[in-house]
Amino acid sequence: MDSHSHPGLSSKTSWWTEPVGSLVKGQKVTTVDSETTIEAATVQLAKADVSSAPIFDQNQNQYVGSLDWADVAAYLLIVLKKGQPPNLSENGSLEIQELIQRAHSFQPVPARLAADLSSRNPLWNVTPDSTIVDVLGAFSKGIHRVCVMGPSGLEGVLSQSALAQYLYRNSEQFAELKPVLSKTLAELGLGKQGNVVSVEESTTVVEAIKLMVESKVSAVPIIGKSGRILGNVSQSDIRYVILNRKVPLLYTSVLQFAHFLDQQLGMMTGQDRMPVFELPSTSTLALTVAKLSAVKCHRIWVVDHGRVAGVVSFTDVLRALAAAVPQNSM
Amino acid sequence: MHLDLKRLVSDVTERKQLLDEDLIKELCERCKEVLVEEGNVRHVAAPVTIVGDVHGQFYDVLELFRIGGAPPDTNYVFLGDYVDRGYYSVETITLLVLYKLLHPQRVTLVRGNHESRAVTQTYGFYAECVRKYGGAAVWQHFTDLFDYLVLAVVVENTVFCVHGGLSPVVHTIDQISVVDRFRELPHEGPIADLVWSDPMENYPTASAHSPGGSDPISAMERPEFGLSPRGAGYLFGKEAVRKFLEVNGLAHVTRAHQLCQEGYRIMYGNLLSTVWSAPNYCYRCGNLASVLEVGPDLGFHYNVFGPCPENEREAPVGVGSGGGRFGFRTTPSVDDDEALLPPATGLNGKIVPPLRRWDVFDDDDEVVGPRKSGKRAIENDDEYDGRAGKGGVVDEYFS
Repeated sequence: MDSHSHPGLSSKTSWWTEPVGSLVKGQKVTTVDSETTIEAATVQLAKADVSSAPIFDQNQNQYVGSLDWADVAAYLLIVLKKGQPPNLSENGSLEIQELIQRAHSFQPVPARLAADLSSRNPLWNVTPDSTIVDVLGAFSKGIHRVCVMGPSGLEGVLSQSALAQYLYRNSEQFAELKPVLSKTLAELGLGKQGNVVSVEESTTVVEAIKLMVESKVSAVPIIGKSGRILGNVSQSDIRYVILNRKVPLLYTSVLQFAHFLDQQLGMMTGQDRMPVFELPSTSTLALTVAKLSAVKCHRIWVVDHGRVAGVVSFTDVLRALAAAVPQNSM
Repeated sequence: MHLDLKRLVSDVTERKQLLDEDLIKELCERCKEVLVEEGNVRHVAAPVTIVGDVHGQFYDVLELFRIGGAPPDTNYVFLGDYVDRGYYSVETITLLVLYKLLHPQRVTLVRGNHESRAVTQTYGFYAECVRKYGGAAVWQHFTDLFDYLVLAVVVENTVFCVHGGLSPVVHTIDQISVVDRFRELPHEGPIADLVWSDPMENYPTASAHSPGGSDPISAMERPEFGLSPRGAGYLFGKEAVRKFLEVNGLAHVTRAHQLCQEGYRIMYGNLLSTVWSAPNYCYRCGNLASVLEVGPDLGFHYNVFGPCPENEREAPVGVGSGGGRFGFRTTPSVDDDEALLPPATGLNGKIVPPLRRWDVFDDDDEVVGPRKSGKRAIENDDEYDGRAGKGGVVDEYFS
């Protein structure tokens, strides 16, 4: 639905009718060959500093799935015999059974077997002409990214974070966004879930990973005895374990692990970061987008009076922005 | 309780003694009494030596005093980050507290982002206190003391000194003076910004060498500031610095907070400098350190030094010796004709310090310092003297 067929509407393009092709123009996408081992694929993800990569099968000449850190986490648990992937039914799909067999017999596992192992990372294709409102539906349901497939193949990957940042940067131009961006998280009812999935200081890293995979969350806060949030473990932290082959790290406490990561990163970048990324519920949606983008996280804890009140992620942000699209445009 | 402070200084510096917990408590109480009288922004006169992060590297702090002179022979402004990372945070902060008590007018202690309960529990000071004293009491005494440290210094109404950087909500020095500083560092707001912010080259356009590695998002209300990838504070560019200096009638901002391979870094046409005083940071980064000596005529001299010689330090167990992956050198060679340019006249007619010979310029004739600072410099190997080694911060993951 665009403004040309509705003469009564303004002739300016509304933000929700922007084609997504323009948002990914010129992008250099990291892709993974389907026969690459998962370890090598993980190294690729880490080097490119991306959270996921589409998996390309040369035999079928098409993209057959996507690999992200949630999938790597699920794979790690299988290798350590700590759990089954969430969607394994009695018969189990052929691929997942093959993965388990290979992993347990220490044979190299090709990346294609781990595609969407977490069941949270399906390959979702759109065309360059698809509009923002088309993808908002998927993003609001928790799909993290979509592949923009043009006539000559993959043109780019549009992530939730990239879309949110684009809308924030251009909010001057898209006047309809300003009211919702200026609302606070409290006003929007965001970040007040109450009981977020969390771990204690002494939980081991591998137990935390198991909890995240089973609960289908990307990260958990570490809550101390006083109820204060002390740190954070994400599924994407696994990259440090795999890259450094520091398997013993998996069996340390989550708090020691979080401290270790902060120290290593601070030393490498020459600047230390806050032990915890958080926002009060009085923060505006605009500030939330800016902060999530700045610290390169998918979600952030909402903390009031020293206690975790809830969590807000890009899914929540985009769902709130989607609510600003007039009903007859959806 | 009568205290022989001079004797305690030699106990710490010569006999390397750890002072008793009761004594630490008493010293902290007395130091709070001194600090409570000081305003959030302290005004000091030149000559004075400005010191950046030292991070518990006690033996290098002793080296610093050998090179720069010990109090009271030299006036000092310390810009914070006394603890965490290094293995001797307790000894380091103890010594600085003693010097502050002995020479309160000649030593100024500014608060850094590491002078915080949450941060010291993550980056090592808490663990060190528990290891050395068997409990958390000493950590509590020191972190209570940290609440009293001042927030900023102005030297001769010319140079603004702070640990991190500027804040979008702080336009004037007076605004800093009226906040209530006597509390744990907040997560956001002006105090958080002053201790957490960083300048960013070519802000706000995207830079391959930016800390976040991506296009920073400007804050809606003040586009010259963007949220920091550190999770607190802001990134800011030349325009923010220029405005702040103009509004407050100052000529230069000096800060610390970021590792500098060469010990210091000058930016924005000499409007801002970073001073880093922990050589061979974490005993592996192989960097130089410096202190900024401001002369009575407000001339700047960045006194660069390397780590304390091996035979004079007690190496922490299990840590590699000095050198790091870059190797380390002593002071860079200096030609006879040091200053390439005559002193420039800065804002409001104040003299801006002369540039030193090892300053280099970027395409816009902006001084960017002798080399790009920080680990990210190695992302382009060819820029870095063709030293052997793989490029890229990520390669650290493989070593």
